[in-house]
Amino acid sequence: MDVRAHVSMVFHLDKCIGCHTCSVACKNVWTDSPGAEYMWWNNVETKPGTGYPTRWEDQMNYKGGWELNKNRELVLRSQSKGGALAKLFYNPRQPGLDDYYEPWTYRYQDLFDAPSGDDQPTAVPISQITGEPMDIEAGPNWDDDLSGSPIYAENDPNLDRLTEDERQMLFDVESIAMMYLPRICNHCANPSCVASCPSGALYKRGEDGIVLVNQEKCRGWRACVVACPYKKMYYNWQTGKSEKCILCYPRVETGQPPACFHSCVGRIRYMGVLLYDAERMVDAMKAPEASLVEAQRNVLLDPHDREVAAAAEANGISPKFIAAAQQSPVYKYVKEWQLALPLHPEFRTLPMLYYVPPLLPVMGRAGDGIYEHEAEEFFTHLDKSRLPMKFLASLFSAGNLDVVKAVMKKQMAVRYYKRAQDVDDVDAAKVQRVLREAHLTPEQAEAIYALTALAPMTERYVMPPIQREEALDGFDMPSCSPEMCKGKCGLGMTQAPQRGA
Amino acid sequence: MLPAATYYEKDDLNSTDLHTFIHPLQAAVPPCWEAKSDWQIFRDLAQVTSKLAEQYFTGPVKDILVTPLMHDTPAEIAQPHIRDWGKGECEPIPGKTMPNITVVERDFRKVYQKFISLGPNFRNKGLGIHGTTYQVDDLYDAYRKTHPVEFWEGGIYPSLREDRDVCEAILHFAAETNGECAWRAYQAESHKTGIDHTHLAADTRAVRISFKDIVTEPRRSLTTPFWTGVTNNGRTYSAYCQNVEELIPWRTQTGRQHLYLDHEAYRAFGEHLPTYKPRPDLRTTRDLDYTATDGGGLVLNYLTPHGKWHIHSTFGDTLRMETLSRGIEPAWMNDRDAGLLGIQDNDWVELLNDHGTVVTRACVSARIPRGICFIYHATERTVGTPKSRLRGGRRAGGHNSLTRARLKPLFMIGGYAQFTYAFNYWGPQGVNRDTFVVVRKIEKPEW
Ligand code: SF4
Repeated sequence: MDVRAHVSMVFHLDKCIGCHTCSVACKNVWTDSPGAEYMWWNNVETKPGTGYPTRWEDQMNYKGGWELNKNRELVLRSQSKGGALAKLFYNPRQPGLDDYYEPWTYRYQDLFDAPSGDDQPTAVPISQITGEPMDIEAGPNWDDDLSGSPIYAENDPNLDRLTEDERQMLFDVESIAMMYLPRICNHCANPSCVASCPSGALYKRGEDGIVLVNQEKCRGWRACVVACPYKKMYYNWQTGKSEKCILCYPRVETGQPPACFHSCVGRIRYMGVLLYDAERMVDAMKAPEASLVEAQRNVLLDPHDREVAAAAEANGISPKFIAAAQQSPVYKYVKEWQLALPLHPEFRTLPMLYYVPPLLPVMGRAGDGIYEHEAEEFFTHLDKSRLPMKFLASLFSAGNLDVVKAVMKKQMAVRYYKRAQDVDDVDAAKVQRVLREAHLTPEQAEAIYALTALAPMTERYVMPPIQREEALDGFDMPSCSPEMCKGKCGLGMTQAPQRGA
Repeated sequence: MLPAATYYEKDDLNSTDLHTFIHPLQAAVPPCWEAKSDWQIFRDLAQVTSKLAEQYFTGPVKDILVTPLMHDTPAEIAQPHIRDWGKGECEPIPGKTMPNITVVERDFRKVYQKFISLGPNFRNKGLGIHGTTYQVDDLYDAYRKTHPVEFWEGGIYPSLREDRDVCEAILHFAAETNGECAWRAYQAESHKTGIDHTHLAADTRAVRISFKDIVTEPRRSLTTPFWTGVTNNGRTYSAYCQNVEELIPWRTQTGRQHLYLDHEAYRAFGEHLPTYKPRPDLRTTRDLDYTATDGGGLVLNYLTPHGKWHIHSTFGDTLRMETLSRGIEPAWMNDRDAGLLGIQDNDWVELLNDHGTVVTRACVSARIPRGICFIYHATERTVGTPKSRLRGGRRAGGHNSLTRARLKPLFMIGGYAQFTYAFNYWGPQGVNRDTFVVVRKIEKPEW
């Protein structure tokens, strides 16, 4: 057993209201300067939709993530043919401005300079890149709330698994459904970006697994932009370096949740520590698609297990860190309750951000929008849900329907259980049966309800203390003199970046 | 008409009925250019008015004030029927068959002094709402000793000159932020119901929340009879707790929760019970009498719902939010409707009817039912609004150029039960903006 600790996350999609407060918080803090205009380290997508950059999930085109070759070895999809060297200088899979969008602003000065007359002036849209008037044809959230559904929603790559009839149904006004999918860097345990970097600029912090770009080492090859299957690496055209979500590590180090977490209106975001067994990792990465979720779950270790805790300590993980792992809301959602699933596990990067799939659209169909109280009938509605199970499975379980259905059953059972308590119109025996079928105890249902609906900030973010003295060990410092260690944490940016430097 | 300071440029108070916190607004930066806080704008207007009045008035003048028949007064049983004294259907009796009429004295030369001074009626008549009044004379006298004052014509009044003064005065005399006032209000309420409710304010009687307190951290409002929830001991606000737990009657005709409205106008309108009203039809609304509906256009019902990212015109046209939407407030329409006109997503369209015209882009979505289009309200025309051919090359209109205010007769009902004329008060569901438009595809717009 080789125990490692990782800061990890859960987004509860039933709670996301699609307000994009998270995106704005992030943008204001990190990507508000020239060269970064088009970057949204945190973005929120409407699903079905093509997202940002458009159709990022389509790896036939973008070639992100890992794949298994004929010898069952894990290889980067972006470098599997033709070699990394050749692609260094020209990589056709690089997303371009059209795949993101051309950032614009408005010529506000016109409002002041307009000659007096009987008509009112308006500020015309202009490109932030050229300064010339432009047609706004794309944006970072262009298909919000099913905007332009014939072009965007209908071309969601996840619909490929649906039959023609099922697709048709999805876009009837009576049965149309959507969900929101907030996305940040997943801080994957097996990050393809790190593996792809020819300069060794990308790294995972040993103490918590946060994936960072050393801005001094980065030489702007952009192999990472292609290799990240979630398209969460961005190239800054001003500095000539790549940038990405840093999980607000300066905040995390001082006990504050990242800006997107802290500002989240729906309180959908949870953060905590996961312990995993690095020895089992390689095999889990290579599991067949259908069992990927299961295999990745098996890598996670029970922090309450004495042996695990001892092994963790032997590996240099501090007792405080282990204590945080034992309180981890992420562990509960991912492993204990098995409610949270990775996004596109088939990319094989082992994302450390997990999602509780949304149940709301399912209920929309149940018994004409009314809760169905016949236990026999109860779960059959899952097959008639507005957002087809196949669609959710394509997002969260590499197509394995059983995995998604098991999650849905649990969520429905919790609602059923709470309804019986609050409204008192459900037979107790039925509730028992529903819970049993969903493999939940009443205590678990109660705990799921509490962490989902009631948990205050202190229960949603259980973060380990930063052990800066330990982090600094890696810098070959003769001693941990505070003066000598200044600027040695995090990005390693100690001088102003220069293009091509 | 005048440039007002924004949230972060002035000291002010902020509260809502959606939560129980009293928030301060604080001037983080001075107002831009010539902008002033609303209070300062009104104060300056008062000053100029007083100055001008010196030229035209030698003393106070008498004025007639007409006020509506109010809920929570005896007038709430004044008009169960529709009778028009103008037509001789009843006697004209102020406060009964017509509004209340009061003769008041106005001294326009003193508008400014009165504006910056609190009292003396405030001191002498007490404070109240919903028919419950509490006395504040002793609190007023004490306040005058510890806060800035105004002296004029022998009187000493708490000052309302600066924004902060106003905030302090509100916080000091409101039952929500002064425990003594809350306690007195419950005393008055107990007098009305015959049940002692003062225990609700006993524990918080000594609480005084000042502006400095809420600057430190927003505070929750105290439990008072002017609200129906109970917030004591950190309890979450929930409407009607006091009605249920304290047996305080609901402020309806029956004193209970009731849905049925027996007023003859409501019965005549078919709204005496909550009811479904179908979408209006074009023949009734007549919004296209003078608009050519042929020539490749499609007639659609037009709505202006609340936007996703703005409260009316506020915040939506910041670059950030424009970037997260479509850089323009588009017209949403159904994909099959759009198909009839060959309109694709993001194509330019013009919407027109007898009232005005809008030029914007189409947002084509299967989410919108057929026969309907909508533009979220309410945006300014400051960014990205093209010119309109139909307006002779002048700037096209905004979403409300296509709508017109349509009053519903039920808005006129008052003097009975909970129906009262008051701004933004309880009332029947409006229909003021439902309309019809012709939608056409256009090629490149003119800027
Ligand atoms: S802030 Fe929270 S609720 Fe709002 S869009 Fe982001 S994740 Fe969803």
